[in-house]
Amino acid sequence: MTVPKGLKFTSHHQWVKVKPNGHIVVGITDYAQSQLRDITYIELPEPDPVHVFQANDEVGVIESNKTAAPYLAPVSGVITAVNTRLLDSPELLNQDPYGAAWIFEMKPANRKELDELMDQDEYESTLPEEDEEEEL
Amino acid sequence: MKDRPLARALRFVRPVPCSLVYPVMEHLVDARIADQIPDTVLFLEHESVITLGHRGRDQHLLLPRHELERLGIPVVHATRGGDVTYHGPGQLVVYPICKLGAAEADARNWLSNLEEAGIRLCAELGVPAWRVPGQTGVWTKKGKVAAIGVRFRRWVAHHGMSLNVRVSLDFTRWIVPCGLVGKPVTTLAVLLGETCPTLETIADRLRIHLGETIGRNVEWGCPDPAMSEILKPVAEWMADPSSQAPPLDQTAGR
Repeated sequence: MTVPKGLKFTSHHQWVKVKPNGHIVVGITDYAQSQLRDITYIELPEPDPVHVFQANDEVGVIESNKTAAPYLAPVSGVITAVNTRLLDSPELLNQDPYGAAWIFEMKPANRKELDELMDQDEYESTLPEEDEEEEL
Repeated sequence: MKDRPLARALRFVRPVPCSLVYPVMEHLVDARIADQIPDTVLFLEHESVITLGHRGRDQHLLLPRHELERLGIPVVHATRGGDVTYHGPGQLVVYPICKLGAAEADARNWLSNLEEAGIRLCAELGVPAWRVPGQTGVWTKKGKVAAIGVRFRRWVAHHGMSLNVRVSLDFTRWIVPCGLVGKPVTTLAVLLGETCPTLETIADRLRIHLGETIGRNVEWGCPDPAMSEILKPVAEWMADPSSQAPPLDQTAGR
C-alpha cells in the first residue's frame, strides 16, 4: 500500500497529516487495519469546539467482526470535523486507510506536540518484521 | 530465529466469574501498557455466563434476560469485539494479554495466530480443524469448537479465545453463539469421546502451540509482586467466594 509522503505517525498506529491552516487530519495505518481485519463499524465523536482532548485520550472505537480497538487523539486539541462517510462504508478503513478513510480533523492545542510524532521511516522501523521460519 | 520474548502463563484452577476477571484483566492491560508487567497469558474457566460484545447487541439471546436470570445465568457486557457467546465450566478460556509489536509474529494478524494455535492443538489431539474465511474461529466437521473475540487497547491485545473441551451444550438453547444462525457448535469431548484429555492437559498443550503462533515463550510461572497485587481480587475470591459477590448484569471493564 502506498503511503503518502509527509505524514507523521504515532506509536499507536495512527497517521497525522498537518494541513496548511495548522489543523491535522488523523487516520489509522495499514498495520492497524490489517490487525483488525474486516472493519464493520466505527464510532465517531461529534465535532465540538469546547471539548479539549488530551494526547492519547480515546476518541472513538473501531470494530471488526471479532475485534474492538479504541483510536486516540494523537495530540491535545479539539475535533473540528469527522468523516461521516465511514458510518456507511466502514470497509474503507481497510481499503484506503491513508486516503478516503481519514477519520477526524483536529485543531491542535499546542503545535510543539506535533514535533514529537514519528516520521515514516521511524514508524516503519517499529513495525515487527515477519519471522520467515514460521509461515502460517 | 531470534529468541522469543517471554510471556508469563497463569492458570486459575477453578471456574471464576466473568465480572470478577474482567476488571482484573483491564488492570493487567494498564500494567502492560506501562511495561510494569510482561506479556501475560491467562488460562481459566468461567462460571456459567453469557457475554455480549462491545456494543452490547443482544438480538441473539433466545430467552429474555429475566428468564436467563431465573436460570442463574448472568448476562455480562464485555469490551471485546464479536457477538454474544457463552462461557462455562469445561470450556477452556485463554486471555493472551500481549503488546503487539513485541514479537516478530505480530507481523501476522493476531486473530489468525489465535486460530492457528487452536487448529494445531486440535490436530495434535487427532481432530482435523480449520479456519473459515469470514467466520473467525476454529471449525471441525461437527461444528465450531473455539470462538475468538479480542480487544486492542493501545494495541495491547486482550480477551482472546474459548475452546469447548467438555462444556455442556445446553447453552445453544439460550443463545445463537456468535450470532451465527444455523451453525453448529461442538466440543472436544464430543469429537474424541472418552479419550478427550483433561482440561489441564489441554491448557498445557495449547500453551505450547500458542507460543509458536504468537511468537512468545509462554512459560508457567508465579506472578511477581506487581502482578500479584492486580490478581488479588481473584485470589481472595478463590479463598472465600462469599467475600465478594460479583454483581449480575454488570458492565464490567471499559
